[in-house]
Amino acid sequence: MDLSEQYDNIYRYCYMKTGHPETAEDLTQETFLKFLETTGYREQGRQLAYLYAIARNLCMDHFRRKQSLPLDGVPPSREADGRMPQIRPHAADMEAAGEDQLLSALTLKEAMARLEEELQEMIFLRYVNDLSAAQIGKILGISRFAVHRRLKRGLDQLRQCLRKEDFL
Amino acid sequence: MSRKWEKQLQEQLKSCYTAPPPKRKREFLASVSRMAAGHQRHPASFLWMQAGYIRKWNWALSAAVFLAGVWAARSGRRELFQMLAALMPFLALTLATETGRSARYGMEELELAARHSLKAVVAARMGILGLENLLLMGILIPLLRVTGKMSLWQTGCVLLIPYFLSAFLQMAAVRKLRGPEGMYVCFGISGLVSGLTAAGTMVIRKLAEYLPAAGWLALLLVLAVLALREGIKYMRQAEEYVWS
Repeated sequence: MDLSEQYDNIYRYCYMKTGHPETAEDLTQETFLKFLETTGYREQGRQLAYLYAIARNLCMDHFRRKQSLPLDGVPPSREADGRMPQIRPHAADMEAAGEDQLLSALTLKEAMARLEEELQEMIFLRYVNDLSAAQIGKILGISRFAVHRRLKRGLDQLRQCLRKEDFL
Repeated sequence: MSRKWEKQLQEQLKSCYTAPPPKRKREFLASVSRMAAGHQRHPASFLWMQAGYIRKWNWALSAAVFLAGVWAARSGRRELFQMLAALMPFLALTLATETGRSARYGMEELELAARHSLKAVVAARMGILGLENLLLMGILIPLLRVTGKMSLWQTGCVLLIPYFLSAFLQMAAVRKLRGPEGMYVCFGISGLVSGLTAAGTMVIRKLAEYLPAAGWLALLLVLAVLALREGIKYMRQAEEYVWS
């Protein structure tokens, strides 16, 4: 397993969950430390699923801690309705990207935020981190057929939302 | 849903979920590769380390059964051979008690957080004790066959059938009943199989005349596979706890 490539993937995953780069990097590093401490899984062909399972659990723990200790000025955790945080584009990104692209990105993110959390996660893992349905199934503890079914449902919902916004 | 739309969506998603570049990646990966190199352990040294954690009374019981077997072989008395066959379930008990030790003392959660996964530890200990028991029997069976009146396969079946039957039932018990009650059931199973072996040797001898050698060997094989299957199930269960 290429640690450097997986570092980026896990970091992106944690960033999608937390919406804060520093926190995402802390969680990524903690994930790798836990993963490397448990030697039993590294040679069994399930490393990737195990790595994501650790990252997922750590993100959940992070939200639990945040809910019990609300602090001012802390990066966004969950929205008021319990959904994933909305990741806003950075200023540098805004300058680099065209206005149209930016609007598209915001529309897509808003459409994604309307989906169930599990569907958001599946779409992210499949289309952003390029994981196969079988790998997603191992991470979420479901069969790959269930992943295919739910992905299709998620994409249908996403498409409907985007049609309403005249995105596609 | 068209491929083109999916491709377009993928591109859009990738661009909108782009994270700012990580700041501490290089330093972290450099330190992690040093740590990973330090953690690498040869399988033989891992097995040796785990053998050290197996309790002394397990080794002592195995040694006692082996010495009893040598004594039975030297004396050539049938009742001693019968007694030895009745001791086999207690040899299997060492395997079950060692496997379910973490669950019995409620230490599973702590061991899950340890450096080596519980599954690897259970597999190593189960493998060490199982191989040690089979090695002892591999020495005893030819010894008993030379001095006794039974053939090699008959001697093997008389010793191994109670062993594998107990191992199978006990592994199922420790897997389903976690905690001290699992151990009580294991002791009960050992006592029951041992009693049946001691009392039923004469019946088995008569049965052996009717049932062909292949039948006994098939029974032995089925029990061995069932015991192994229960061991694998126990390890998988330990793995599920890690993922939980």
